[in-house]
Amino acid sequence: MRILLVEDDEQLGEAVQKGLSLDGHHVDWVKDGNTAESVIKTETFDLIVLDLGLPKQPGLQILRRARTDGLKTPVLILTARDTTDDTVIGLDSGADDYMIKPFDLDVLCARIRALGRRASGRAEPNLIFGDLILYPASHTVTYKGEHLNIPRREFAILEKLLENQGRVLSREALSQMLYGFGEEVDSNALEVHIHNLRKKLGANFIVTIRGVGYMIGTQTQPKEDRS
Amino acid sequence: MLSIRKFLLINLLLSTTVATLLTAVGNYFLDQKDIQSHLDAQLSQVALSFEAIIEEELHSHRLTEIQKALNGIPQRAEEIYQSARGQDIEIRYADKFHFQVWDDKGKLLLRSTGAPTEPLSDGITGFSEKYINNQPWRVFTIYSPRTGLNIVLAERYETRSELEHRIAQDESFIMLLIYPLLGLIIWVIVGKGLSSLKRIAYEVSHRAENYLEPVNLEEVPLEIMPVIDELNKLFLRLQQAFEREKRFAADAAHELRTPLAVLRTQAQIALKTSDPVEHEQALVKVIQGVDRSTHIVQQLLTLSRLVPEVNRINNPEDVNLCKAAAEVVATLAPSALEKSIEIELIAPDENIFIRGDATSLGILIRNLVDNAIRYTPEHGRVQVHVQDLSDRTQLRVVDSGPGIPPELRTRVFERFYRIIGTKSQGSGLGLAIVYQIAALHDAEIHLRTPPNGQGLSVEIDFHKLPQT
Repeated sequence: MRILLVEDDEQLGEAVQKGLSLDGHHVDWVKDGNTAESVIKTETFDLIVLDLGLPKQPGLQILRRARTDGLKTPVLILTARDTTDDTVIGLDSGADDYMIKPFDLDVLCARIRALGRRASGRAEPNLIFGDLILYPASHTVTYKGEHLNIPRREFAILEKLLENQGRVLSREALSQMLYGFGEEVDSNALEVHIHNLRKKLGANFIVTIRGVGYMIGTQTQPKEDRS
Repeated sequence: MLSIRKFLLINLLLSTTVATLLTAVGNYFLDQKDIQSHLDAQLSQVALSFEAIIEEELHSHRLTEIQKALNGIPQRAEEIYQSARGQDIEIRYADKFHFQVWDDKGKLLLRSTGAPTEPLSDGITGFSEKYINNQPWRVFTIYSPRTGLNIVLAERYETRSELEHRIAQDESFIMLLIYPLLGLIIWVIVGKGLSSLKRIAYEVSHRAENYLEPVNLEEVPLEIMPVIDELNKLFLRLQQAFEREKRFAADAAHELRTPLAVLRTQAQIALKTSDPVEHEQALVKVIQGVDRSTHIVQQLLTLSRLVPEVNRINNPEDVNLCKAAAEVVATLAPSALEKSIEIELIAPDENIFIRGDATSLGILIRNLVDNAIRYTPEHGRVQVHVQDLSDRTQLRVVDSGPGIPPELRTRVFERFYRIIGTKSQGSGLGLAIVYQIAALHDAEIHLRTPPNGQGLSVEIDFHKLPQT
């Protein structure tokens, strides 16, 4: 993607430019708000990475003005401010995503990719976990290349779990996937589906966090059955 | 604007003026009375003296002689006056005082020079008044039964009022002298009385900006002692706050040195080594070092937001403790899993509420669970309990780590305190943060050993929400 990086700190700017280039993007780097504003008006970009602590113009002001002028390019803001209030203000000013410094370069790249996908309206990517691949478009699942037979409700649960890798999903959140099918759900339904998934995928694929919910297990170590 | 000085001056001067005027008026009336009775007494005294002197019936011959002598009084008075010149005697003859002597047949026997020939009295014994030529006179009459004579003495009222006026004038004169003097004295006294206030005000307002020593209480007037006392206490609190701030910044800087040292060293190792595996490992450690430093910075920021001076819950709300705990466990579960630690939330009643601040409660739970995961070795377990007990609502985090020996249980809340021997990469601030947030919610913290004798149980007891 063609990315505009608005960053006033020399070292950080250099690092981000390099980091994003390694991920295959073309990065134009400007170092102050005024230049950024004029460049935005004259050039087109696929994405803008905007640091909020700019000299000469607060980043949020630039953002608001650009949005009022009709800018549709996705914007990801980098900020040192970590309170929820600042987050709200940032998003309300027209940002699509934000990252707090210091950030993980891989996460930054992933979010940039996500914003890129959203902007171009591309289909959901396939979800991968180890040897398991889930294809949202065709509603199919393969494990080590072999097709697995997974009924609709279990597929929905698995898809949701895979979308949230590394995060625990509450029982309520997962149960809601079952309601969508317009049927009375009994309280044990979720457990049954999880059980079935484990039978097909292996016990250590889905981890129970008692009292909280379920998550996809981490890939690093084999786990004992704790269900 | 309220001014004690102006208030005092205006009111004191006003009241002295009013008092002075009232005194003058009062004096005038009282003096009148006194003068009246004094002169009346004199009048009667003279009349009685006359009566005593005129012993017998007077022959016409004798009468003529006496009358002649009486007529010569003005001249006589002038002679005495001349001879008494230089002495402070006022005997200048004045036409103020008259007498008449009548016999019982209505014939005027004697009279003073200038006395009218008509009867001065209407025959009434004692005091009376008479108008002669439109002038009022005070008249005193005696009837002497021995001699059958009427003795009449009269004094013009004008005389009396003249005296009254003279006295009033003299009094006013004195008052006019004293009055401004009094005003001046009041001015000076008020000024002096308020001078200590002025001095204190000057001293306090002319302090250097960062001079926080207490005001000397010895020279402070009793009335503003409470104010100055509080001011001194405020100075003390400020001093302590600044001290704390300084210490905090210094501590923070020191704490970051070690992780930064690690960063530098590992980076240099990466540069030095030619072994690609070592190279990669060193760089991985650099990233870990950065994460550690970031964590410390984050904790420092959190802690600085909890300083006692601004530590107040601004918008107390009903917070669902179970949900808050669930969110924390959900967030930290992955890191627990990485160490194969079994983590669970035990909250039989899914909706337990307490009153407080949602954000800081989240931070409190997060720090406790984070600590538990950090200090528990691999394959251990961490449990988070949320319970409604009879007299309190309790959050309890239990881990199977090494625990904290009882003798160190108070020290662990100190900032940057870490127990020797723990290999943790924590910031040392977690429990300090927990302490502050618990204090904010008026909650109690207890560190105990779990029933199975191993590990640590951290209990936070909150006030129960009043049941509606």
